[in-house]
Amino acid sequence: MMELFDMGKYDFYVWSSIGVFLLALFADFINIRSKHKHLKQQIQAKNRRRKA
Amino acid sequence: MNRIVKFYHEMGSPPSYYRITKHWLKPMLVLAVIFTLYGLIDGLFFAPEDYQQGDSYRIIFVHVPAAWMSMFIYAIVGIAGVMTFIWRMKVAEAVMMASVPIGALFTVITLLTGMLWGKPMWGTYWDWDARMTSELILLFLYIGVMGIYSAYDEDPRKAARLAALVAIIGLVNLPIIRYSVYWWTSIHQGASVSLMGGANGIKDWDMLRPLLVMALGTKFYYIYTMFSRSQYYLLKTEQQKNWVNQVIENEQSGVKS
Repeated sequence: MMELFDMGKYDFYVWSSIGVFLLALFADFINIRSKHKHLKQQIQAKNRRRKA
Repeated sequence: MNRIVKFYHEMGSPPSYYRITKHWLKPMLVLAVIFTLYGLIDGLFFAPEDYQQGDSYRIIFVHVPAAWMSMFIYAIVGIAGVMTFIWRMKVAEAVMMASVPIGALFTVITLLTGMLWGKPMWGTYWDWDARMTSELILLFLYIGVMGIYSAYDEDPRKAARLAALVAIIGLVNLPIIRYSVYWWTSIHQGASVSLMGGANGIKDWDMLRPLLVMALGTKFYYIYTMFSRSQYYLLKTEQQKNWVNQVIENEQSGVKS
């Protein structure tokens, strides 16, 4: 199994690059989702206050 | 009215843009995940080893798609910037400001993965080479557009026009990045893919396939994140308008538009 992940003497460079790529995109995805959620809650709260 | 013209006008209106793009979010995200996973698995485990660079060349499958996206997104930022500056289109503003963070992120990925590839191949993480320096300038341009916008955030329309001006000026950097390896002596290699079928670039289909699949995966992810961020931008800047309240209420009660 470990053979599959073996990149010769370049293990560190290859897997770090893949890690940087995936981590950056995942962080971006989480960031957008949480910003959307937060803004929608804010607008909902404002609407509730206006109606009350 | 011509359907394309009608679609263009519809996309220019914030409520219609929000309604149309909402349906595209999930398909784009699913396609991005599928293509990225396939491209990575194919590139890392099935593509043959390079005869000169060994396995280290596999960094290409994240580095090159990210580099293409960093420039492609800046071109979109520039075009949306022109539309913002001349026609003051709200949706163009949203597309421009939604594209900047993801463009900057792809530029950071390009620089970091390039450094990680440079160390084993060139013996150094960084060199003030024309390609690397112009890519770093691209990152500063993205930061500049975000910075100008943030500096005037009490007046978002004025902020967007100023940011658009910076974005338009920065377009000059794109051909410099593209042709830097030909104009100046560079340690950076030439183009990875030659559209004209020239002598340069990858020839082996088993290497080219995962690269092209990754390029599609990153394009789909960009469309997802750009639509998502532009929706956020429109909701934030138009929250006093009725359509925003309507959208939020509908989403809360689970009504489909």
